Amino acid sequence: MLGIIPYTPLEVLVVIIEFLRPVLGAIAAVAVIDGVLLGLSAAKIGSSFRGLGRALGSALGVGAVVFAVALALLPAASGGSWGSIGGTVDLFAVTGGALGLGAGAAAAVFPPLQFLLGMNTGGQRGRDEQYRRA
Amino acid sequence: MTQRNTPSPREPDLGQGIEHCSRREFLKLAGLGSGALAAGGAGTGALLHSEPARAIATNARIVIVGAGAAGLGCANRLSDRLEGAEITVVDRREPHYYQPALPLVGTGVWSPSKAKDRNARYMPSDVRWVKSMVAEYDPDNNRVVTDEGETLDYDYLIVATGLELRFDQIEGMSPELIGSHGIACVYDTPEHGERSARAVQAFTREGGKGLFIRPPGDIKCAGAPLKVAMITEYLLRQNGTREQSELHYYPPDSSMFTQPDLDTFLKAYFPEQRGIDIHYHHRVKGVDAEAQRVTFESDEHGEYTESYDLLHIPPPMSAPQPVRESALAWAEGETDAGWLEVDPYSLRHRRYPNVFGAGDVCGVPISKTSASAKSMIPVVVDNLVDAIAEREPSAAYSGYTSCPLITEVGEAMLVEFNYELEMVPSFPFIDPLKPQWAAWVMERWLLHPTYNAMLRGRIS
Repeated sequence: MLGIIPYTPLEVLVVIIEFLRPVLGAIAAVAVIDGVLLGLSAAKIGSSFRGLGRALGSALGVGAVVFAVALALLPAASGGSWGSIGGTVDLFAVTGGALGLGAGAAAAVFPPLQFLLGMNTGGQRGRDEQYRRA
Repeated sequence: MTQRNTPSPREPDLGQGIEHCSRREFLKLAGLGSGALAAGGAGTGALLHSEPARAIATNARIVIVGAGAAGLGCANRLSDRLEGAEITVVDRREPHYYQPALPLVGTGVWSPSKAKDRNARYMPSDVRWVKSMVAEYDPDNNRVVTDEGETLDYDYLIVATGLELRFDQIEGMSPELIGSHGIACVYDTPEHGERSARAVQAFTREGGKGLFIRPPGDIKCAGAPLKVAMITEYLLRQNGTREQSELHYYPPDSSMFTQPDLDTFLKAYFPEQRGIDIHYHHRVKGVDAEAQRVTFESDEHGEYTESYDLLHIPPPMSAPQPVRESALAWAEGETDAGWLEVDPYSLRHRRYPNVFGAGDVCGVPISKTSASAKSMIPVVVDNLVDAIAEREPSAAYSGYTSCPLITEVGEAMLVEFNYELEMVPSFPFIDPLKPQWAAWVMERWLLHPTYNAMLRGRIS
């Protein structure tokens, strides 16, 4: 079928890349930094996955804030207003868009949060061990 | 597809060898595996073609006339599908215009920069780009001649020139008048759009009498005159000048739109919901810009003039003159506009089987839109590759076309249909006859990236 939208996963990816093309460099940089930080935490170099719950909670908190802000501003950002939202499809669309932005924000901030929290926890643990040895 | 009208297989004897290229395929797969992380680079983009499974080696000389949406899309897909082919694109124009944005540019809602791009960004590196225009088609001798006198011989020809706006068919009208004397025409270029926006914005600040014309014959983006009327009405409301304004819409016949469901909807929606009067069977004969008067020929009232404060006046449209006056144009039937005589399904020329058509220039019975071009491109490329491989055309164009009909800023209707004029919605849960934000979001954020992916030949 030939329609206005892409149908295969590859075509969806292509359109997403085209959509993000102006900021693709910045997104790639964030992804690389996140990957490195996650790798360092996994390898326990300078940080660890201690405090995972707090990092996840904080990331989800950031995601929730972004979701709320996006939900409020998405119609205006599109050039319309909340008055343009009429019916279930529009509500699903605006909620889905805001959810996507919130999830993206949460995913982006989780690695640095985890690194920082893991680092601090590790540092405290190290000092505790030094104290015990002394 | 319910019907096929395959032309007779009168293939040129080109003696082209064909072989499958597994090395190329291997390199693509290897690159895909290693390139996932660095999705931002141009190199990654090159890996994201959904087709082909195999490239075909050939020494065919392929000339593509036109570097618009259809021409660039075909060039990119052919560049990917063929190895060793000599592909030439002929078009002097270096700017590329994202024309679906023009109704919003022309009403001042979007800036002209949203419609401006450069062909060089999408031109495949292995394609020869001849920066001149084709002045003469000589299909009997398989060659075209440019306006700089260069002769280009071809084995296969794709005509993707787009169309020509015929301001000359309206007395007193010229493109230079756009933006002055209350005259607007959002078609063709962002410059026209920018000047139209000045006229529309001035009108919506003061109010007055606005006339919106749909010209006779086939035109590109038949929804644009409707969109401009509705966006103008919206802007009048936003500016508080709606009460001191009257708006009139003039179709040349008894319909508002080709698709019957939308036609019925608009016939009620314009007068009842938007307060826009419809005057059927009106054709513009001439314009007196200084006096701000337009002369109509009407089936009911004969010839008469009407004053205006804003006149949105798209002209009649036809194939470009070199196509119109060549042997490639329709030889019988309605020949005035000189559209390319292609089979509506295979998009192959009905008399010259090594000639194909893509985009607005094609004489096919469906609206001329970017969405049509998007659907035509893979059909033309598949069938041209079939021709090179000495096979029957395997792909068929369904007549798919689409019109995101903007009803106001923030709302649109996503209308999609085919040759049978049946609605073929991409999203069955979106009512095509209800103005919605979701459809506007697609216009606002989804269509341009999809269009760019089409130019790069990465989407079907």
